Amino acid sequence: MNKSIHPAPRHSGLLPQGMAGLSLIELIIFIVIIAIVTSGVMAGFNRMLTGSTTARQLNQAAYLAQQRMELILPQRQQQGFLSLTTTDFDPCTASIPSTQAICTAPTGYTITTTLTSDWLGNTDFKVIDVSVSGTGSAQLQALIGNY
Amino acid sequence: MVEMVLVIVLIGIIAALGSRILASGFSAYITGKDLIQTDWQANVALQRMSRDLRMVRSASIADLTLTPGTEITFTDNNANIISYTLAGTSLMRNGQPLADDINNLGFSYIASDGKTSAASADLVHYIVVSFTASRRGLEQNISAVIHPRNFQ
Repeated sequence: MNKSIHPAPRHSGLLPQGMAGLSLIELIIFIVIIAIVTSGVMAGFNRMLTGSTTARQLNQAAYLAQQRMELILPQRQQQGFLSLTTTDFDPCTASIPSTQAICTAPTGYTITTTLTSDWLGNTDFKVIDVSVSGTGSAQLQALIGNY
Repeated sequence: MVEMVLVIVLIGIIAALGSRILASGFSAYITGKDLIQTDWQANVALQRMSRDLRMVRSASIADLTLTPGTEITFTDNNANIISYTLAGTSLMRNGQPLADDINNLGFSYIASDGKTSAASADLVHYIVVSFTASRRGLEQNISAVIHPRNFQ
C-alpha cells in the first residue's frame, strides 16, 4: 500500500496561500447589507406606487367631469344662449344652487366649472370648462354657439 | 455540521424574506386583476345604459316608468321596451346579465332646471344612474347624468 508521507495542505489547492476566498462572516455581512439596501429600495417603490394616481382615480375624475358637463349642456337649450350667464350656467353652482346628490363631489375631488362668454373674441360662441382636481384630475371643454 | 446548520438557517431567512416579496407581488397581481375587472364591468354597464337611456322615446308616463328607484323600464325610439334591474349582484338588461359585481343600483330623475327632482315622467329632463362596482373589498361608486335626446 502506498501512503503519502506529506500532510494535506490546509488551503485550497487551486489558490495560493493567503487567498482562500470569502469567509462565512463576510458572506453574512454581504447578505445583511444587500437586505438593508433592498428593503430601502422596496420601501421607496411602495411609497411611489401608493402615492401615484391610479387609473381608477383618473377614471373616476373623468366620470365626474362627464356627468357635470352632461348636466350643464342642456341648460343652453333651457335657458337660451343669451341667458346663459357665468353665474347661472351650472345648476350646481347657480345663485340658487342645486341640492341634487350629483352636485356633491366625492371625498378628495373638487369640481370647478367656468363659462367664458366669448370664443377668441367671438361672442356668438361660449366656452364651458369643467375641471376635476384632487385625487384624480380631468378636464373637459365644450363650445356652444348662438344658432 | 455547524456550517450546514448555518447554511440551513441562512437559506431559511432568505426564503422567508423572498416569500414575503413574492407574496406581495402575487397580491399586487390579484388586486390589479380585480381592479381591472371591476372597472371594466362598471364601464361596460355604464356605457350601455347611457347609450340606451339617451334613446328614451319621450318624457311621458307611457314611455318611462320612474318607480321603484332601483330599476328602470322605458321605451326607446324603435318601440323596444328596455328594463334594467339588479338580480343579486348582476346587472340585468331585459333579464339578460350585462355586468357582474354591481350593487346599489339606483335611478333618480331631475327636472329641466337641473335642480329639482322630477316627480312624474313628463317632468323628467335628466336621468341619473348610480351604482357601486365591488369585488373582494374593492369598491367604486359610479354615477352618470343622462339627458335623453328626445326630452325637451
